[in-house]
Amino acid sequence: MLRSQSLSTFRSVQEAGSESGEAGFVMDPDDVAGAVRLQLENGDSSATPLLETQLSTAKQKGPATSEELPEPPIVWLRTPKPTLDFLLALQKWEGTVLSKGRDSFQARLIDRNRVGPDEEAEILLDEVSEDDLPLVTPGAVFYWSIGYHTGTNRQKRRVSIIRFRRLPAWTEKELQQANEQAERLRDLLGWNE
Amino acid sequence: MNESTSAQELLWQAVGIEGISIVLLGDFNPKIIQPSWLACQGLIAKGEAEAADVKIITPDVSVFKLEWLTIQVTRERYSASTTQAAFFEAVRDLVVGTFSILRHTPARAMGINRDAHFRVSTVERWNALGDRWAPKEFWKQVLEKPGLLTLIIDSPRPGKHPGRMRVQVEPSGKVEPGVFCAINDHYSIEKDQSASGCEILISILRDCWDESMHRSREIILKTIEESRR
Repeated sequence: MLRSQSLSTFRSVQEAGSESGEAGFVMDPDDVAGAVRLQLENGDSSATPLLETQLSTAKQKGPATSEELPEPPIVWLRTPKPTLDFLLALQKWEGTVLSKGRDSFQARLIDRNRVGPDEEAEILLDEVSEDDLPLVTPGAVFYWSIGYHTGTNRQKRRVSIIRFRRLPAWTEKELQQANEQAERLRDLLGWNE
Repeated sequence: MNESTSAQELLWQAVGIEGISIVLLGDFNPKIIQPSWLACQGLIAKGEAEAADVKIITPDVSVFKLEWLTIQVTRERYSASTTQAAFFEAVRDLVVGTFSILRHTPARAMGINRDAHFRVSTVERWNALGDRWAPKEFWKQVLEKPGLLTLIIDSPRPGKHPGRMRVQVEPSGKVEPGVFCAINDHYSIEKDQSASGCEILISILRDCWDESMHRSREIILKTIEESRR
């Protein structure tokens, strides 16, 4: 560990905080994702012990009116960050559907990590999520990854994930622009003559 | 596979966790961007929308998670992120899809961010890396045990789009001994261009994604390589 080192050139945030004798954690002041801002109403029974003391002090003064009560305290309720759920890809391809059969589809695959020739593969439709099945049509683009998934319970499993690209439908304007561009290309290539 | 690609693949095996995020700055309407709307637009599956973990949806903030995606939207900031490498391109498609529909949303800047936690073989090498990046000679004159917590390096980005790159390195809180390396590939546009919508930034995202991912990966690979010296 770092503390056994005579000279720490890197130091973890947690250790830096404890060495200085201050808070055990040094948090990024902009990082509020893990915290829930809780603004308690006066008399809220869910108040923390500190707040309960403040509120009971206020109550001892006699019948409180809204003018007499102190400003409602603001508490930052820290919630533990959940363990990260992540997936490391060993292999990634971008594929294009060439044709679809009854139980499988043919696809051209481009390796996302390496430079190499395109490959063709036949993939079972069973590999595709039910929600993505209607998207399996010739020309459709999909991403295929094989890797290790580590869940929040830290269990690691090898996975194969196919996800079809979802983009909004073409608008009339975009279709018109595409047609115009195609016409210009046809003219350029002399195919309209 | 050629030799250099193979060497890069070997280096990349040091990576323990990686993630990406796409962040847009502008003027957003958080209440629109919610799972049911994304499903209605065909950008996610209906089953995904139904299973979404919605943290909060109000006129000021919208936060929800799908199995592979986290979306956070405030009035000034939109962020889509994942730590699942299989879905990096899906996140890009979702952002492109969302703002192709909401094309009149004013947006003035975008970050294509990538980060990785990678393992360093020994604590000695880990410390030596910190020393090379931030020499301690000066600091030892004024501090007892100086240590590197965070280092941020900023540089203009080559290419036609205005912006910069920022690389941040710090000790990893996830991999020990390890380094967390985060790259912010920042694109900004002129104010008068952003007023009319986000089409320019979205076309940059579509066109520059591969290049940005490649550049970030190269930087991470370089830092891994440096850690092995």
